[in-house]
Amino acid sequence: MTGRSAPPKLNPAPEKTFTAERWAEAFESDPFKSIVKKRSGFIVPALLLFSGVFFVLWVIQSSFPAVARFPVYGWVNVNFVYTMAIFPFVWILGYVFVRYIRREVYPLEDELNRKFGKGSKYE
Amino acid sequence: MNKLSIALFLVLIAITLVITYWSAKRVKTTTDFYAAGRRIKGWQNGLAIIGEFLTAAAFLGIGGLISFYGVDGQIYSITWFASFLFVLLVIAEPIRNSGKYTFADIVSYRLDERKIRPLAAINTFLISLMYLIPQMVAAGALSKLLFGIPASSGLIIVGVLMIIYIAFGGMLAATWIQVLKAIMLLTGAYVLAFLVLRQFHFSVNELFAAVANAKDLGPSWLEPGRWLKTPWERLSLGFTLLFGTAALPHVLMRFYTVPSKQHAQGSALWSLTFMLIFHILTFIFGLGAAVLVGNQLIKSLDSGGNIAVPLLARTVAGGQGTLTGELFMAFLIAVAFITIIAAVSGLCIAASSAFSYDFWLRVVKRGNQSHAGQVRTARLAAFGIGVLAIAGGLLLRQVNVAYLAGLAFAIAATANLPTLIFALYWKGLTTKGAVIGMLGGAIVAGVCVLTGPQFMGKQALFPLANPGIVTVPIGFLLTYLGSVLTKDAHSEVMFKELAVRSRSGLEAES
Repeated sequence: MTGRSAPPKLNPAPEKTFTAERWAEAFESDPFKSIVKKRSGFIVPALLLFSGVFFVLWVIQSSFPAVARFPVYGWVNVNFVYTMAIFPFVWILGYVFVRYIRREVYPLEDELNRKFGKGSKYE
Repeated sequence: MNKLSIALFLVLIAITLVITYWSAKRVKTTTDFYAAGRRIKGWQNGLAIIGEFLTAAAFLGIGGLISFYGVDGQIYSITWFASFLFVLLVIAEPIRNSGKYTFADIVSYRLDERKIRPLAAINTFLISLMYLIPQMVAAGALSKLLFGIPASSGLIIVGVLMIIYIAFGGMLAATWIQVLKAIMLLTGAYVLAFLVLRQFHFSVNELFAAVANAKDLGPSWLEPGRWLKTPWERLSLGFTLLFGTAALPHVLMRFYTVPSKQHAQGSALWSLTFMLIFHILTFIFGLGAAVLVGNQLIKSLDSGGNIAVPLLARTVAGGQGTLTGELFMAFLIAVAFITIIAAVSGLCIAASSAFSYDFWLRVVKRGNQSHAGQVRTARLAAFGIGVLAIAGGLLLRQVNVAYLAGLAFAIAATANLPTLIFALYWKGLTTKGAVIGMLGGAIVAGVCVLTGPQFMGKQALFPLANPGIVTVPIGFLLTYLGSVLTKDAHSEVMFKELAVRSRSGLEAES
């Protein structure tokens, strides 16, 4: 994967060497279904949480100015603390996602590759 | 100041030309030209991606905005940063797994290529050009402000350098110039933040107290509402930036430069990390400039606030007339200018690939063009785009073209994102649905921006300057309705292929 690319072909569209049957079988396979389930199992709640955190910021800034300016430490107020807390929150969510995918999903993708990719019974 | 800045700028330009020469010798295939040979590592691509984003608007603009209006300006920092989580979760890996060079590769994979690719190419071309022209105009204005040279000369210099970088070095040169720029920008930003905080004994509370107690400022600088007056304005700006960023063609293209899905995912996380370490500092620059430089002086030199950060650098590094103060200011000015050139180069390659690869090779030539011919067309396209951008910048430099950047974000979020998301995740997408969504979305976004306050000012017919909260749902709805009302058996069959390929990396381009 890391070497130089192969000599260019005349038609550089994404390669389509698999047959439709091979793709359909891969789509219906257990590893692929598990991949979809595991990915959605993280992504959907993560996006909901992420949207919720931003929605609360919007509500505080738009509708509760007294809460936004409420002092936390000296002149540092709730609006500033909440805004700054979003930075580590978003980063941690991203980091946990990458760890999760590498631990839970990549082994399934390897399994799918062994069944349907290069070197499988199809070749 | 000007001579020192120009000298530093020339040194940086010399370095970028060496990078371009080095890259040009390595660009032999179309993959080298469009995707840097897919040899860029995750952290390198992460730096290059933030290089695309840390434009003059981010580096100079947010600081000026916070200086003039207070912490409301942080919305740009927080939303640009957060948009990369969306990219990481939903887009980065599937894009790398399914396409070859461009956004159009993904949508035409399962849809009727003859209908969808030209449209995707036109959208990509227009988005990139609309984002490029304001950058060129800003480059001219900044060159006058920062170096004291005429705006038209500055604009032409930027355009010519952009053509040289891309026509000779392609994506490889663009990537390494972005990496260089990102490293310098982050270094400069941290030195500046250190020097500013030192003035306040490294206490954010002391900085805030200085803002609250300053004669021309006050506690309102630390509260939301000074700039964004209505809740809808705030929500819509966030929405447009969040979703527009995720569908900008020059950002999506970056995920093809890495060798594998792991690197694509890694580069999105790296870019999130680098964005974090830059954007947590913007309030220090803005509030620091407001207190230490003063908004009156900043406004007297530039009503847009773009000079706030360089002036702050001079003040905290020793002050006007001191060697350290002038040197640090000159360094930041030179970096800011390199920032602009690197940013326009990324846009240039996105626009030229839309023409040379999506339109010329895939539509006109039906994929039949020799390899050498493809690279030649790509180089000519880069030259043409560069000339167009210079001409557009010169023609429009007296006009306020800030709305064009807003329009680019709005079209990306409204027209491209729904098709991209549905192509990857929804079985029911049809070619007609995608055409209706892309065409309709672009028209809706265009109408809302051109009848909105950014273009019409106080006579605006549409109330929101950034229309994302209205147009993005319309874009999704148009694509959905267009799809459920039409049939496309081919797309349904191909969905299985694309779903497996995008989510597992099976048969991904190497």
